[in-house]
Amino acid sequence: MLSRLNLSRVILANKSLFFNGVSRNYCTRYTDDHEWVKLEGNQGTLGITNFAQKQLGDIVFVELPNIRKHEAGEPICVIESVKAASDVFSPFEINVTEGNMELTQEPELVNSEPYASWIIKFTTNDTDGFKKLLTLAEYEKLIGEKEDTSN
Amino acid sequence: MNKIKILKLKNFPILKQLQLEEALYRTPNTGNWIILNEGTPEPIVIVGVSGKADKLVNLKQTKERNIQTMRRFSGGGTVVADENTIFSSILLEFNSFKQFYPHMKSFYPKDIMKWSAEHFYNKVFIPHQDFSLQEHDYAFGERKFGGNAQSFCKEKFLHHTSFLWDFKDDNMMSCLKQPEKIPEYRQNRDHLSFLCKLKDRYHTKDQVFNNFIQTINNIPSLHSIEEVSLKDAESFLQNNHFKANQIYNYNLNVWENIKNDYNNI
Repeated sequence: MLSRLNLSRVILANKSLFFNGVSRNYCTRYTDDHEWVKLEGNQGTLGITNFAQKQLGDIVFVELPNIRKHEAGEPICVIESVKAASDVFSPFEINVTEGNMELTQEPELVNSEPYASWIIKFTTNDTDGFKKLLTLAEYEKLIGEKEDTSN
Repeated sequence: MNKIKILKLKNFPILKQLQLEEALYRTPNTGNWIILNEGTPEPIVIVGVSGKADKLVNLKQTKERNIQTMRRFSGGGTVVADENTIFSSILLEFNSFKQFYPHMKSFYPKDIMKWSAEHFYNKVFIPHQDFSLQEHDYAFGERKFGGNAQSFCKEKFLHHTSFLWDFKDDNMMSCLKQPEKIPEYRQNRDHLSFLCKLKDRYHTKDQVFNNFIQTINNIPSLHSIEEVSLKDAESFLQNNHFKANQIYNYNLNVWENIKNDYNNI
């Protein structure tokens, strides 16, 4: 049981998270190309949604992107499922800083854990671009079903 | 929008055809294209974008036979192509495709693969009632004669196929390894046991090509077909685009960018 003092500290900590707004909040948005994008401050990660991995089928290859700036809408990497190579697109202007090397050895992780298996990390100054993306509710309306974000 | 350009080629190097296709695929607003090619002059092994050459290709034997190995920009498996391979490539913009096939509600790779068998190639290969899509490959009965690969971007998709009019048994056996993930219908059979040849079903290649053209003409809501020249397609090579097609260097055991006149444009 938290003492009154500890409880106050917890409340204060949460308030600082809350009142710092975007700079302290993780926030996930979605694209109509079926990518999820998480942003904390100006640092983010990107992957594909559970809906997307179901539609693609078994993923056999993830080609990691070049570490550079990518314009909005530019293809940044390729995911191959059986018999099909599908582009993954930059959701807004980003600087790719890292690709997930684990996926080069175990591309099937994108199927089993689409939300845990980020494909790229990036930085961005285009937070307006991020805010224009779909909320979870809007994405679910787009795909016509509930999106399982648990993995 | 509801127009398709057709490029007919004969004995045109598939390596250059794939360079053209990549330019058309990666350049916006190219319109709809179908490319038909009757053979490639020299045998060549073609792996898909994720292809690990050492796992899919008997590199020593392929090098000794003076057969090139290339990696194409699309997904899919490994083929040995030569003058007896028929190539068919369908590049359609989604806006057009939705007008041709308004009943389709979903346009993911599996949907396009299914469409290709149930609404296009079933008509090309009429009246062979045993034509089907078997785990992403075209087959008569249980024997495959066509291998597919696809690529998807925002605006369009590419679905291209290599058909076996005939093949050299020893090239197939020598160049290709059994894939690690074997399709179920293959049942661990070697290459010669699960493949068949179009020449055993048709007297001439012209019969097959005529069926292609007739099927294209019958695409619903298609306004017109325009037969174009190689130069028309080559004009798109000038557009700056990412180039993923590569050639294997047997001496250094690495994939390298293609160095030819198409990459100097």
